[in-house]
Amino acid sequence: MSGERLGLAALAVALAAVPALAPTAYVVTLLNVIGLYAIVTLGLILLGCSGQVSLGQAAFYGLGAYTSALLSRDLGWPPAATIPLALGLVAGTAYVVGVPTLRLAEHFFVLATLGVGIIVNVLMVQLVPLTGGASGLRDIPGLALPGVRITTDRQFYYLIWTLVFVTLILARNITSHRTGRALRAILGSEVGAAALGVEVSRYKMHVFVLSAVYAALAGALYAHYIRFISPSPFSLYASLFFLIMAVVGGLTNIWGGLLGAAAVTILDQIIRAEVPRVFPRVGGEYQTAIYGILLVLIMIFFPSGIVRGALDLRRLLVRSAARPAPVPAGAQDPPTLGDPPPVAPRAKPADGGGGM
Amino acid sequence: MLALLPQLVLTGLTVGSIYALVALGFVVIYNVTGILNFAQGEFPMLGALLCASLLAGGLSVPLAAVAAVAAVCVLGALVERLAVEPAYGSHPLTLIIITFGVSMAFRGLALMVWGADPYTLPEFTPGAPLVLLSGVLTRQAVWAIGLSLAVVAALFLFFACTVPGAAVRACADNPFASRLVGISPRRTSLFAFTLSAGLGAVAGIVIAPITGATYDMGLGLGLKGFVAAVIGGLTNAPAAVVGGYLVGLIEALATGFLTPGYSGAITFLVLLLVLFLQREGLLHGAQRRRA
Amino acid sequence: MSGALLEAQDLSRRFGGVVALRRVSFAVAPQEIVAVIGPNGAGKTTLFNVVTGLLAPTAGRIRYRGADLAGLSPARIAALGIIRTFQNPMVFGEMTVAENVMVGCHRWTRTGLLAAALALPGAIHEDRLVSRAALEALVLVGLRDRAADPARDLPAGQQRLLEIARALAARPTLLLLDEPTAGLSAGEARHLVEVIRRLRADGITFIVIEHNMDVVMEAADRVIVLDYGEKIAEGTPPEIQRDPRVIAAYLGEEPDAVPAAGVSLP
Ligand SMILES: Nc1ncnc2c1ncn2[C@@H]1O[C@H](COP(=O)(O)OP(=O)(O)OP(=O)(O)O)[C@@H](O)[C@H]1O
Ligand SMILES: [Mg+2]
Repeated sequence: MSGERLGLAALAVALAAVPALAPTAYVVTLLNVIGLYAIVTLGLILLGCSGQVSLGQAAFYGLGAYTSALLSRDLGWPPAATIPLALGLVAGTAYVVGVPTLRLAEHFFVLATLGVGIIVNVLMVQLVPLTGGASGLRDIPGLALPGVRITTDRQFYYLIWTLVFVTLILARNITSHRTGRALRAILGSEVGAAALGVEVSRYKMHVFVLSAVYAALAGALYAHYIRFISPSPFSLYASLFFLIMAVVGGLTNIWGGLLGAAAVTILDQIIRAEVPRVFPRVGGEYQTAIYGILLVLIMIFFPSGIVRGALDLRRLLVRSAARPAPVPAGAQDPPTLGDPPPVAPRAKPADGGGGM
Repeated sequence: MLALLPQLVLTGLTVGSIYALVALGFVVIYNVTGILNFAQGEFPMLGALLCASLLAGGLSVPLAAVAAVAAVCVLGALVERLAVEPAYGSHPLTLIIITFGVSMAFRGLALMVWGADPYTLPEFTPGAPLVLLSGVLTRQAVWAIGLSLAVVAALFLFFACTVPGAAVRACADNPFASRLVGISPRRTSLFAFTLSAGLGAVAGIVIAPITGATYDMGLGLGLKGFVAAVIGGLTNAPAAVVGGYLVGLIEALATGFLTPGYSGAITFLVLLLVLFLQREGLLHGAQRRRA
Repeated sequence: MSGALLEAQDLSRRFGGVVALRRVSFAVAPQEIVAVIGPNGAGKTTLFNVVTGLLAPTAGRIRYRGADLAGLSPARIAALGIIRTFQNPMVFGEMTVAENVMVGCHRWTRTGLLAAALALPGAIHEDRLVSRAALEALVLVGLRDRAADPARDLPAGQQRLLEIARALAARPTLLLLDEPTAGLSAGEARHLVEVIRRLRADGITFIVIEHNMDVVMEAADRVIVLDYGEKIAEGTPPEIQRDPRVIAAYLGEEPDAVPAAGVSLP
C-alpha cells in the first residue's frame, strides 16, 4: 500500500516537472490529450471492474463536450457552472440507458451502449441549428474559473493532470473497500453476489453512471481546451479507441488506465506518422487494422492487460528456469489483498441456448 | 406521400433480405457457441470486395461469386481458429472484445487492400426492372430476395434433415450431452463460423450490385443484422429472418418519410426499444454461462 | 404452523413440460435443522432457488417471519437474512479466499460509494472489522491457512467450505446449504456437522440438502423427502428411514442413486 503511495507521489512530482523540462510545446499538448483520454479510460476500467464493457463512452464524452460548450457559448453561462451541469445531464442520460439494459446479459448491454453511441453521434451531425452539424461549433469560451483564467497549454496541463489524479484516487478507493469487493464479486459471479445481498443491478448502475460522468468530465474539459468541437472525435471509432486503451491497461486495473491511455495515444501518433510512408495510397482509418489485431492479441495473450501480463510472463519464465517441469495452470504467488482481478475466465466453449 | 409507399416497401424487402442473411449468421454462431460475433458484418464486405476483384481478374460472374464465397468461408474458419478458439473459456467480455477486434482488423485491412473508393458489381441478369404495384423492383432486387429466401430454405432443410445439421442443433441444445455422444463442440464451433461467414458473403455479393461495395459497409450491415437477430430473440432463426425484413422495412420507411440523415439512428432506436422490452433475468444469464 | 420462521404453501414450479416442484408445503421452526433429501432431479435445488428468489414460483407462496417473499429480488431476500450456498460453488475465482468471505459481510456493513471514494474513516474502520470477521469464519470451517490464496485454486470440496464460510460471515438467520458435504472427506463432513450444530445453538436455522445419510441422521431434526417435485414424506430421520414410499423412491432409481450410507432395507 505504501509502495502505491510512493509511486503516486513520484509520478506526481515527475508530471509536475514536465512543463518546465519539456523540450517542445508538442509534448505538453500530447500529455494534455493523454490526460483527457486517461480520465475516460479510468471510467471504462471502473465499469470493467464490475464485468461490463461500454461502447458508448465516446457519446458521453461528446455529450459532456457539447452540453458545456453550448451552455457557455450560447447562453453565456460560466464554465464553472456549465461543466457540472454537463456532468449531471450525462449522468441522467446514462441512468436512463442503464435502467432497462443493465439487467440483461453482457452482450445486450454492450449492444445498447453501442446503439446509444450511434444515435448520439447521428444527432450531433443532424441537429444542425443546435450543434452546427458536421462542421461543428466554433468560438467556445475558454475556461474562466472563479479567480483564474485557464488558457495556455501549460495551465491546462496542470488542471487536467490534477483532475486525472483526483479521478484516479477516487476510482482506486471505490474499487477497494466494501464497494470494490462487491463489484469484483459481481465480476466473479452475479448470482453468487446477489445471494449474499449485493444488489447487482444497483452497483452496476452506479459504476455505469460514474463511468459516463468521467467521460463527460473529460469531454467538457476538451471543449473548453480546444474551443472547437465537431461530431467526428465522438464517433463509434473513438469509443473503440477508448476500449483499446482500457484493454491495454487491463480492464480491471485502475493503474493500467494511465498506462493504456499513454501507450495507445503515443502508438497512434507513431502510426499516423509512419504508416503513410509504407502505404502511401491509403487514407482514412487504416489504423483500425493495427488496433484490431492488437485488440485480439492482447485479449488472447494478456487478457488482464499488458502490465499484469508481463508480470505473469516473467514469473512463468523465472519458474520454468528454476524448475523445468511445466507450471500448473493457476499456480501463482498469492496476490495481496486489494489486488484487482483480471477478467475472470468462465464461459464454456459451447454453451448454446435453445434450438434453431 | 402515400404514393411512395409501394416503392419503399419493395426497397425495404430488398435490403431486408440481406439483413436477414446477416442475422441468420449471428443466430447460427450464437446458438452454437454463445458468442455474439460482432465481426459478422465484415463477411459481406469481404465477399463483395473479393468478388469485385475476381471479376476484375477476368472470372465470370458465377465463378467469381462462388470463389468469393468459398474464400470468405475460409476466412471465417480462420477467424474461429486464430482469434476465437484460443479464448474459449475466458470471460464473455473477452470474447466480445475479440470479435470487435476482428471486425476492426478486417475493416482496416480492406481499406489497405481495396482503398476507400466504392466498387460496383454488375447485375447478375441485366435488364429492365419489373414494375409491381406502382413500385419498381430491379432484377437484382429480385435476385436478392429470391436468393436469400432460397438460402434460408436450404439452411432449414440442412438443420432439419441432415446428420451434420442435427449434430449442430444437438450441440446448441446441450453441449455436454452432445459431447457424450461424440459430437465435438470444437468442430461444431468451427463449422458455425464457416457457415456464418458464407451466409454473410452471399449477402454481400447479392447486394453489392445495388448499393456498391466499400471497405466500411460491414459496420452498418452488421449492426442492422444484429438488430434483426435481437428482434428475433437471438436464438430463433425464423424469427431472425422476419427481424431482418422488419429492419429493412423500418429503415426504408424512415428514409422515405423522415430526414434521410436520421434513418441510421432509427434502427438503433428500434434496437434500444427491443432491448428495453427484453426480459432476461439474472439466473438465465448465469446458466448460459455455466451450461 | 404458527411461529414458523419459514413457511411454504403449495409451491409449484415448472420448466416447460417439466414440473420441478408440485404443490410442496412445509414449515421450518426457528433453530431447527431440516434436511431435504430426494433422488437426482427431485427438485431440491429448485426449491432453494425459489425460496431465495432466483426463480419465481409458478404458484404458491413463501412466508418468512410472517411476511410474503413474493416478488423480492435475491439480494433483498439475502438482506432479510436468508443466505444460501450453491450446489456448484459460485466462488469469486479471482478474489482471494479471505476477500470472498469479506463479500459475505456485505449484508451487515454500510460503506457506500461515496464513503469508499473518499476513503472516509468509517470505511477504513469497517474494513478492519470485516477482515476480522472474515478470518473468524475461515477458522470455523478450517480454511484459515488458505486465506491469501486465489479462490479458484481451491479444490471443489474446499470451495464448498469457502462458500459456507462466506455465508456464515453474512450472519444469516436462515442458512440454506446445497449438498455441503459433497467432495468432503468423512472427517471434514463430521467437523461440518459439528459446526452446524454449534451454530444452531447460537440461533441459526438450517435447511440442508444432503445425500449423505450419515450426515442426515446425525444432524437433522426433521427430514423432507422430495421425489419428482412432490413432497412424499416428512418426519424425523428414523421415521423417514422406515417409510416405504421413501424406500420405493430410492429403489426406483439406478443403484448409485441410493444414499451412500444406506436407507436400511427390509
Ligand atoms: N433452470 C432450469 N431450466 C430448466 N429445467 C430445470 C432448471 N432447473 C432445474 N430444472 C429441472 O428441474 C428438475 C429438478 O431439478 P433440481 O436441480 O431442482 O433437482 P435436484 O433435486 O437438485 O437434483 P440433484 O440431486 O441432481 O441436484 C430437473 O428435471 C431439472 O432438469
Ligand atoms: Mg440439486
